[in-house]
Amino acid sequence: MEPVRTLVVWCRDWPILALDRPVGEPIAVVHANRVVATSASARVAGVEVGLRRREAQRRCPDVSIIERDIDREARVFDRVVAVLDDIAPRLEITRPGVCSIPTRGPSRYFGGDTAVADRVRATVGAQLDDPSACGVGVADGPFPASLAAQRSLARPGAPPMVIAAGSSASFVAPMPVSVLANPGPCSLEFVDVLGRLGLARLSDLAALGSADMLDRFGWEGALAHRLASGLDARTMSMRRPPEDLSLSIELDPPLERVDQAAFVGKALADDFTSALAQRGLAALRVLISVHTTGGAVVERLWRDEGALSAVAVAQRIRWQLDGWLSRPGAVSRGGICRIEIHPDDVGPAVGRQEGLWGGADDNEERARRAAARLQTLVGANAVRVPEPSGGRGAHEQMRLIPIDSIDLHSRLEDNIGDLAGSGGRAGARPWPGSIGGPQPTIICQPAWPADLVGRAGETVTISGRGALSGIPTQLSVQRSPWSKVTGWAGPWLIDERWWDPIAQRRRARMQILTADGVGRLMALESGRWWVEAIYD
Amino acid sequence: MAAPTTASDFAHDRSPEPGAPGALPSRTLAVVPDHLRELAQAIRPTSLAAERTLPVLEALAPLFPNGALQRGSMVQITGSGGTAVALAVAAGASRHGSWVGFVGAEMIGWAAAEQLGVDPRRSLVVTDVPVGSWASVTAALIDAVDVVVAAPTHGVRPADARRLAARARERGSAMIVVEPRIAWPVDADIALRSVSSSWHGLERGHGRLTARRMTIESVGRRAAAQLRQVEVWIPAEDGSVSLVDAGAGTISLAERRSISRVDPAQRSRTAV
Repeated sequence: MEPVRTLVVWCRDWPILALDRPVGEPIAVVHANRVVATSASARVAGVEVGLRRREAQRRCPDVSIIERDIDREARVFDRVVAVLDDIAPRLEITRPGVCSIPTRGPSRYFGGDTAVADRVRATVGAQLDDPSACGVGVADGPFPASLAAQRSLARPGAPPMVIAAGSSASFVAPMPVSVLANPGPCSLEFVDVLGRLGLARLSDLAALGSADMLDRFGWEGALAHRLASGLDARTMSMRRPPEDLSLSIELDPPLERVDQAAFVGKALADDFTSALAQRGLAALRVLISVHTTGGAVVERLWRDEGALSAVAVAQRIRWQLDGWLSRPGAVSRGGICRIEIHPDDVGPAVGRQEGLWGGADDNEERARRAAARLQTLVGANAVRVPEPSGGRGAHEQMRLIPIDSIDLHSRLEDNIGDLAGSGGRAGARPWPGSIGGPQPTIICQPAWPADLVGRAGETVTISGRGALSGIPTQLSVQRSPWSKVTGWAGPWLIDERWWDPIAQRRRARMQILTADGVGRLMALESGRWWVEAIYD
Repeated sequence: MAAPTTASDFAHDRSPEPGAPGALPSRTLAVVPDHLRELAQAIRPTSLAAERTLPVLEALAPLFPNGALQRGSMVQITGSGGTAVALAVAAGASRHGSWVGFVGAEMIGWAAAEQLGVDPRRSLVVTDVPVGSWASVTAALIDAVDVVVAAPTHGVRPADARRLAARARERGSAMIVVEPRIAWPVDADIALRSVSSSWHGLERGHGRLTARRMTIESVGRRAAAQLRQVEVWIPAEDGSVSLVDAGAGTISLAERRSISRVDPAQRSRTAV
């Protein structure tokens, strides 16, 4: 099968660009306490992708730390690429910041790949504050085209890079194997293994036999070999999907709000992926079309080099709706009356092996379905899961996050192993000033006001150096009757964010045990005592 | 020991029984690792009602008839330290792959829950439940997860409570009701009460909370009609939940507290 000439648009640091901040400001976008993207000035200061938030702040104190909002990234990107609809009809979005176009039609129309690339570069660049952040590459297939787009960014002014037809193999040959993981679809572990086997460049990999790679590494190895040889990944598995796998849903009455439609879309995505899975297939590219009562149709192709899971499909439905609704004039087109999903490209499902005998997988499926049902009862954000976050206070070490914001399955698989003693996760790092030992079982939020007095009935205070003004003898919580204090420890002084005049907090914490056997975590802040948590 | 005659997944772990590859007689169960024994239980084609149970932590097992949490039962928890007891009861099932649902439990300290053994990756928490839909939300949770921990924040109608109990019985989920604030209007299958609770490690001006010794008693209906009592560390100094020896430290199940019978009149007083 002939490789498909493909043009890839690659926006550098998209999570930063999507923020619409002035160029030159040091910014780091973090996700799960790790830096995922940095602006150029932050990079100069030594902030790198993969650092912990704290380390980034240490290296560059001026850096603005911003939590990643992938929905926003998708929304802004949709607005940017909407202008490309005039140049090419079959635009597919790989992820926010990256999209691709098959160039066969547009090249004929505009007179060659170079002409199309220049035009795309100019159109997209005009949408961005910094046109040089947009790279365009054309090559035989999406993988070499992505590489070309990335490489074009390194040249001054970032002119498009067009790799002549048939020479993609020689273009990718000298590249390091790490490109298989980024922009390629392979996992970092796999690339790491290749490196340790002494395969430094793609040409080394291509020199091996494809059957040997399949033998040793399975599907991923065969894929990597194809990519390294300059062949197209998708021809390996692409097949025309059977017609009946398209799914659609009529919405009556039409929906006005994105969250409602996203909710419907989620159920649709579940049905869609399970219908594919029954045939042993997984979606590599889907076409999502949304029809409105005003007769408008919004269509988008979405691709993922791995297979699109139900969660991923649902997310893309939401991105598409978000992006469309944020465009000017969207409101006049009426409500959403129909959502369709077509599998445009399917491959064999090579994903995961389910447990042999029911067990946890069955439970997980039940829990996931229940979560969807509960969301209809109480709203999407009221169904939550505890997630480690890290912090000093009892309430900061774990927080509740909406279940929609995580992928339950990968979460279960990711950190299998003993949870209690795990040293690998972000929240488990040492937090100086936190109180070890058993954690309180009840968190009072907001904290309850309390009075802690000494022998003469005077409020116990703590000096700046951590000395108690007297021996605490009696405690009253929220003006309840006094109870006798039988044990206390502390104070532990905490001076958080002293560099920030607004977020700064100075507190002293103490553990207080009363005669009724109840342990409490108390805090003194601005001269008042508070019950922060109870060891119930 | 003869070589296994069948290519079974656990052939290398148990004593082979030539001629009876799938039967797993109890004699051989003694030598298979715990997780395989659980698996063998789970895939057995038929089970008696008394065997449809969820595991509980070893230290709490003496509180329950058959040493396990009966599926479909409702457990009521009262007394000081009730939250920790509820989490510890849920922890056994959670450790073995069950999901735990929480309703009305916004105040729970999740770090403590994790320390006591509740797996946060298999927890589902419903927050901000409107008063009107409390019962339907709890029912939906019962449908979905093996263990539901509910802390009612307002009065629950007896009819709703009975319906939830029936739902749990039908679905085979266990429901744990923590009631430091609001009493549950109907009798539970098992009522756990913390009789005493004392923290160790904190002195007058030094130390810090390290371990808590609790006396918990249980009484209930049918098979649970005996008054049972255990003394446990929730948590012990090493963070685990373990039985208390007469002195200090932890001991095995063998030293469990004596089980005494009570007359029915006293029982009904205790259960209320």
